[in-house]
Amino acid sequence: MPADPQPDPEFEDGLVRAFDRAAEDVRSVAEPLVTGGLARGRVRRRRRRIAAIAGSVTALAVIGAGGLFTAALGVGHPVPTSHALTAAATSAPPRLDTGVNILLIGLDSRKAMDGSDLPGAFVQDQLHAGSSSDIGGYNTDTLLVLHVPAGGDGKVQAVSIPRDDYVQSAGADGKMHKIEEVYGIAKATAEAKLQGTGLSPAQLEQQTREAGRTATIETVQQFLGVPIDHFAEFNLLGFYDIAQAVGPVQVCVNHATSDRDSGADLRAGLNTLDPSQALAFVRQRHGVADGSDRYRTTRQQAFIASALHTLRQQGVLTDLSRAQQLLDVVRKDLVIDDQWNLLDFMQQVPDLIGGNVEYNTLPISGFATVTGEGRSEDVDTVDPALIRRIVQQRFGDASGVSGTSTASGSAAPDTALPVPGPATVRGDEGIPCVN
Amino acid sequence: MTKSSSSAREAMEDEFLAFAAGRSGQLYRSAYFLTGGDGHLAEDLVQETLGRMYAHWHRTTRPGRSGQIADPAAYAQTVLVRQFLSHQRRRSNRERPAAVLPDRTGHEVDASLRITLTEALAQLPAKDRAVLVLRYWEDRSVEETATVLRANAGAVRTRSVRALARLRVLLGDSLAELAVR
Repeated sequence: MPADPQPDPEFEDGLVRAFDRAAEDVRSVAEPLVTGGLARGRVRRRRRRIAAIAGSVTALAVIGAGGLFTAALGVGHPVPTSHALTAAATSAPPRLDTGVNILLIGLDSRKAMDGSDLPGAFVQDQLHAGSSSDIGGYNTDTLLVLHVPAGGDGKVQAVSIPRDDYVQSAGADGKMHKIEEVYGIAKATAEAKLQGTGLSPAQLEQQTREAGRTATIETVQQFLGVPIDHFAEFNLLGFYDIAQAVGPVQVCVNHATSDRDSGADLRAGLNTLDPSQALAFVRQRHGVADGSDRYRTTRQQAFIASALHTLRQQGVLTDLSRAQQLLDVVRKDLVIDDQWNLLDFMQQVPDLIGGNVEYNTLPISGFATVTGEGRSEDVDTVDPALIRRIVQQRFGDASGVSGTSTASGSAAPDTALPVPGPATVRGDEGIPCVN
Repeated sequence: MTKSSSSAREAMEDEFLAFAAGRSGQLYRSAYFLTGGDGHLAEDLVQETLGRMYAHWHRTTRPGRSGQIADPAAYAQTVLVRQFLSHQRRRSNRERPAAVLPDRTGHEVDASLRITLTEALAQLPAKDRAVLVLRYWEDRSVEETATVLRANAGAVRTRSVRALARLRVLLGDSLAELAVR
């Protein structure tokens, strides 16, 4: 290395002038691109027609940042949207308060969003899921309702509905079903109706899924007694892709476990998970507590909390390029409702990304075996009145708009649960340890 | 949402959009130089910067409280440079290979100055570019530049001198000829 060169004031002056002159030129050739984009974004916003973008909880957290890309500048390609919310709105119960309720639907589908089968080897090796496309399909493995308080102040409540809860379905055939099956039943009914109408397979898939979504939203609304304001649907592949985009996530388990079915193999304490292991972590059932599905909800919640923690630690939540990468993933694996106003939602994100989230699983009353249509299945029985009281207590706030309907449930004891369930997972503890 | 909070939000959004419309040109020019004339990347950086500004916009409206952004314009320029550098770190393998500088006769339209300057900048390391843009385009002091880059003043001074020397070698006499006209 030669000695440091001597300062050259003449060259420095020349550089200042060169920047100025060149800037004039930049202004003339390139600037319209930027300001033009802004102007378009502004018009769109005024018309309240912002392309909505959203995703799973993990993606939700970064959406605020990434969404601006679309919202303020009017560029980007929107996530596929669904009208299911509008269809379900007619039967929605009155709201408890001015907060926003968001339903996350996780399907165990091995199909891509357009109905084509995912490659078998990928499903087998990476998703650790049976490769046949008729195993699983349209069961809603994950049903998580987020309640974001009005104004974004205060704790976000996240409530998981155990997928085996035996409930009165709405929007499907009106019978009692495991809540996870409502989507598929409504989809199959719609499919029978639409057969022979000349729709392409992709159109048929799209329309019948809308029926499944509508029925799922209606059933959840009726079961919890709250309206759903927004929803996002993702599948196994979507989860995998999201986990990959987030990068390695640390989770904490109380005991070492391994489970061949899901591919989970965890040691006690902290584990660093790649996407495939992350999927196994949230799907593991055997060797977790009583082996029932209800403890999987805890895993899902813990993963979400840990993933948010990871993103927060990496500063990704405020890094637009990383946020954009996540959005690109979200874009291809998710479907969201067509009414999601990002600019509004962004204001509510801080508590979510700050980890101020409390996760709970709704209690069940007991277990039962029901028979029908030549098969029997094990279900979780529930007390709908108790569920609604609990939800009211968790979601409702004192200044809620619906004073009359909260009165009856004002003293709901949510301690006297008939069957012990998973514990609360707290998002403000960094990486929560779970079973 | 109550009516008043939603109209307050709309006022904030309008304020932000006015800011974005007013500042994006300046941000774009800085981004254009930082990226060595990569218009697409520059556009992305501006968008990312504005996105980030939006996310933090509420901090511009709480005077006296901690974390307040007193000067949004300056803050945005800082965000831009930091975005650029972190972008470079992630994509260091995607640096464009050093282009051979085209021969300049020295008397062309102004476009040639822009091209000459940015092509030379493009051959410098990202941090050198950041220092030069901050010091000679944004007219920041060594201390301010150090704050933006999260470095100490001495390091900025050293880098500045070396970056200037490299640029001088790359540009030869063409800068003087083009800039004086």
